[in-house]
Amino acid sequence: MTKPIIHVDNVHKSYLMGKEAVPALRGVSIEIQAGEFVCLMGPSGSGKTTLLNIIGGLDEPSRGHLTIEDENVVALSENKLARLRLEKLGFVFQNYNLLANFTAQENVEAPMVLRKTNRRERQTRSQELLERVGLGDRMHHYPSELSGGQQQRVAIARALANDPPILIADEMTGDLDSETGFAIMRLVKQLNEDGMTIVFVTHDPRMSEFATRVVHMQDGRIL
Amino acid sequence: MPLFALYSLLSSKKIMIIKYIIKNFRRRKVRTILMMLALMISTGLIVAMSATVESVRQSNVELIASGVGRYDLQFQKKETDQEPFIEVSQTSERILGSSESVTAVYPRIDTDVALRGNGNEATGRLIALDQAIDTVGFIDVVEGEYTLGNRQVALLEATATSFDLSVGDQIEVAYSFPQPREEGKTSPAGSSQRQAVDIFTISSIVRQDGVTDSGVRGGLIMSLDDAQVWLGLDNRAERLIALVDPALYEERNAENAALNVRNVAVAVQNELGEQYQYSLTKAAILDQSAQAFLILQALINTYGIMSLGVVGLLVHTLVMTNVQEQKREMAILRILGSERGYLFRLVIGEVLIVGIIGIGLGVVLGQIINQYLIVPFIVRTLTMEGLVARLQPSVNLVSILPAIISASAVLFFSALRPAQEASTTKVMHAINPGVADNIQIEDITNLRERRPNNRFLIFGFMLILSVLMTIGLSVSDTFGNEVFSATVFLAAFLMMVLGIGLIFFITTVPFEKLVLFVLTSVAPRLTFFARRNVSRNQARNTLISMLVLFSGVLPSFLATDSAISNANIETDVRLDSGADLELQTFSRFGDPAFADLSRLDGQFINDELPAIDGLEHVVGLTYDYSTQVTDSVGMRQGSINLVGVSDSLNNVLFSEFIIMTAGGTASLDEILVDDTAVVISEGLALGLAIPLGGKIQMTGEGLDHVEELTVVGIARRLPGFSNIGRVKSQGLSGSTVLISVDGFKQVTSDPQVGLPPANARLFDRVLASVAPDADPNVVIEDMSRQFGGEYDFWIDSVDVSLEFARTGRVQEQAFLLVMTLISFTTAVFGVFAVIYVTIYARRIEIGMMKAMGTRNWELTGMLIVESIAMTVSAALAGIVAGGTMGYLIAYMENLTAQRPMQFAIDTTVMPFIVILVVFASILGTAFSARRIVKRKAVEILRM
Repeated sequence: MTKPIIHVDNVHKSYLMGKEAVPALRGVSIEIQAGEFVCLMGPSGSGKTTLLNIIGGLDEPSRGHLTIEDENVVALSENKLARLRLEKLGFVFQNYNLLANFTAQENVEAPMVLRKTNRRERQTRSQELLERVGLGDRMHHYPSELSGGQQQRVAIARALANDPPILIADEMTGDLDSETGFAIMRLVKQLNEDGMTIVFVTHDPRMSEFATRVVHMQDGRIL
Repeated sequence: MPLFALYSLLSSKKIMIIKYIIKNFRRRKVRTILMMLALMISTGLIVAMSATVESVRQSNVELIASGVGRYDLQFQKKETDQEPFIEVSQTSERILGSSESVTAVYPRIDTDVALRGNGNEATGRLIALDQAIDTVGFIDVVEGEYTLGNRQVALLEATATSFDLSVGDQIEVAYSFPQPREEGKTSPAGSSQRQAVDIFTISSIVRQDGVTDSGVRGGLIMSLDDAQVWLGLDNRAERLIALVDPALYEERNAENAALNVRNVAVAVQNELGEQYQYSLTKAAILDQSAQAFLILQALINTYGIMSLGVVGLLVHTLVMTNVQEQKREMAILRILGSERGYLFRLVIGEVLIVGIIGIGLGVVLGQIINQYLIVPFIVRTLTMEGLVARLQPSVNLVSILPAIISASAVLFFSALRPAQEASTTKVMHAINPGVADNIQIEDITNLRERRPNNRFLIFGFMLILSVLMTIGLSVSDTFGNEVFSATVFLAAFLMMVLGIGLIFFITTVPFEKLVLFVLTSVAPRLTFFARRNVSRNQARNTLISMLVLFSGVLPSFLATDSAISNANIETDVRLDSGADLELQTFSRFGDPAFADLSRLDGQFINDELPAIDGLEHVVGLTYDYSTQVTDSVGMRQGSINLVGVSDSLNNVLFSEFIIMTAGGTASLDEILVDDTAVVISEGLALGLAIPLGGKIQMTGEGLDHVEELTVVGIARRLPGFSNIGRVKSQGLSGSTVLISVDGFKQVTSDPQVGLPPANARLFDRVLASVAPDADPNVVIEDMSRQFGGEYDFWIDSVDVSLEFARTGRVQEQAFLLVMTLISFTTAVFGVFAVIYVTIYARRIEIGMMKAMGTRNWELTGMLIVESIAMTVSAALAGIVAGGTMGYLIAYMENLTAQRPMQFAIDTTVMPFIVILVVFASILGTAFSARRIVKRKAVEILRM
């Protein structure tokens, strides 16, 4: 068996609510192979978003280990973690989180600017990516001039900007109607088929059908 | 009072408001602290500024006293009185009895004497006083012990230094007794004066402050008893000085204070009669300073209002943000049954509490700033000027009240709109915020009701503003009310600053591009993000730009004005003086009825003065004879001042400043040989429509006396003659016309009486050139020594005037820097507050950037670059606006005054503004961003 691209080992996470520690994850372990399309499902408060955030390096576990491509994420400094996110992870959120003052193309360019990619390359790649997500004709539009589905496509294109091996998506179809949601999922599926590892969270069982593996969670544990 | 008792006084609704407000404070600590701090600082600065004005106002008398002597009235016998000395006891009693306001009278001798010691000779001042009772002024002992009497004297430091004398040495003093002159006649020149010479021992070397005028640095102080014995003046003194009740000066209006003192002098005059001459120099200077004081007050008030305006914007922004964030809560309160008024009071109450604390702390801060910063600064500046300033920090109700009222008013108006916004919260904001701003059922009443449109009112007011200002200025001129004049002046100044600021607001956009272009070369990646946010976020940029721009206009304007003045000091001084040396008799500015007594005669001008070593050429100018001129048929007329010229002005005037429209500089010589030839100003030539060679009719002295004169020269500018210019209206109302002395005599003499004698005293001004190898200061000293005793005049040299003007500029610069710092301190708070709120509002964007892999320093850097771009561009716009206004005004002034102008750029205040703004942006942004940026991305996205 090949080495997993993501290895979560006995991860615990607790949040302080006032003076009381509320556990969100209780010893979660999971291995995700490169090229997998993993869906995390579960009721509210089951810990799926917490797990996703920890896998994405956005949050740190209270206890346990996490490696991404053999790199011990828990031991990384703040700056190295930022570098890891920049190079190895792409993020898509439910509410798109696009930069409001940036055009679609500039939004896609943003991660490349941070990675010091030269201007010409940035522009060519952002153009390619937007065309790939079907927004070749909307490159110079601002987020406020795009529909929800189009904004989510821009967010996906932005997540792909630095060609990361892993895409992390949290309820990416949650704010979209069914038809648009399915279109987005088909796009993500295509990315998976091209070799990208996808980890996403959803409430919608119809969307989970796109995944190659569905992980069910409840009360901070994997069932 | 126990909390329970306090609660029982308030209704449950009010208690709920207070509880809600306190909870809000806890929730938004930073914002609340920011508002309080901004209010505290601005109120503190205004209190400090008002207190400065108050300190300066109250200490003005003190400073003047330091300059002219720390006494209020002085009485001397007139020169025509046969007994030049005053009997002390009885006269003092009469003075004390003449007015209750006279609190003390002291006898003195205060006159020039010849001093000889250690092989040196010079003139100096003899001050003889009764040390036991006369404690007017301060004595700083440099060496020895200040004891007078028994033929021991205190030597003033300057004489001790120049004569190289020490304590225990002896000094010879020669006193010339005054010679009474016959009324209407001058004392015969060269007549012998009785002299008394004696030798005294030096007991101490001292400096005086306010014992007599501050110009007295050399001479000696002697016991009055010793002087009386020495000069044989039993119970007699050369003068009496008097002190008045200090309460007379405690008027906000300097003019009224001066008039109070004059009333006392009049009362003394009624008692003593006409044989005395009365001097109230302190009151007179106070009277003259009233106008300058008015301008200072208006300037400081303008700074204060600008600062408060900035704080108003800040409070408005923060409170509005609070209201927006609380919309849902307020909507819930409305669902629960709250009236609109309740929500309104909720916001006003919150601001009220912030205001009470902020303004209260500000008052305390103002006192501290005044006491420990401003007063020591003024004292230091004045000390550098050689004035001994004994200022007392003055913070009283008068200085506190305007600040409290203005800050409260600004606070109220800043909170009004947010409070209205809160009161109009719809219940839909709680149910479905997305559609809440659409028209709801509760908006129907508003649709039915027609309300007055305030914009029309403001627009109308703006249209007639110029008319209102003109009326205001003329009303203030007519009624002479100081407060009203200050208000009109302040309003005009404010309008000008705001107007020019608004006009130049448009330049913030190109300046933003310029700053971003520069920043791109320094930090290209950070600027990539900043550029988009700066150029595409209008609302936020407008607010920050306004804050900074308005704060920058006034200091830049004043700095430009100062820089231009500085660059043109030499030109201005040379233009004003006209020649190397300018001698003016006191009669020029005194009572015209006695003017001819101290004027100079032809012999002095032509023989005595040129004999002074180092003087190259001397030109005497007669007094100004005011009369009428017309064209030859009397269709056009104007009033002029005729001045007779004793010699060629070409020999003494700074030739580079002479502009002759017609006739050339030769015409200045031509008038000397033709008594009917005149040189007139271009303004007069235009006004009368008289060409070169044309004739003018001038009304002379006596009935039906009209002289026909020929215009041989038309001047646009002559240095030393400020009334010669090209402006027609000025040309027709008092411009100078030059003529020969003989021609002057023709015009000014009644043909029925005949011409005045050859040695008539006609001259009250002399312009002279100094030989290239001569030292002007030595020449002045020689002139003073030789003629000072006989004539009443003073001499200015270009060098001395220049030095004086330059010292003034240094002071002005320091004042400007302090005011700039004050005005920008509040702007910095404004910038900080806006950035703080903005960063909070943009937290999702920041969270996303962080999730993408942006490092903390990169995020902070991006936000700092954004801030710098916004604030520096606005500061540059403000600088350009203020600078342009400064140039325009200076140019217009110089254009009408016919002064050549050298353009200059301020290199102190303007860079200071930019540095201050950059510094504020970096600190403000770093501090505001820190609390968000340091969090984890997921935490930020959850906020």
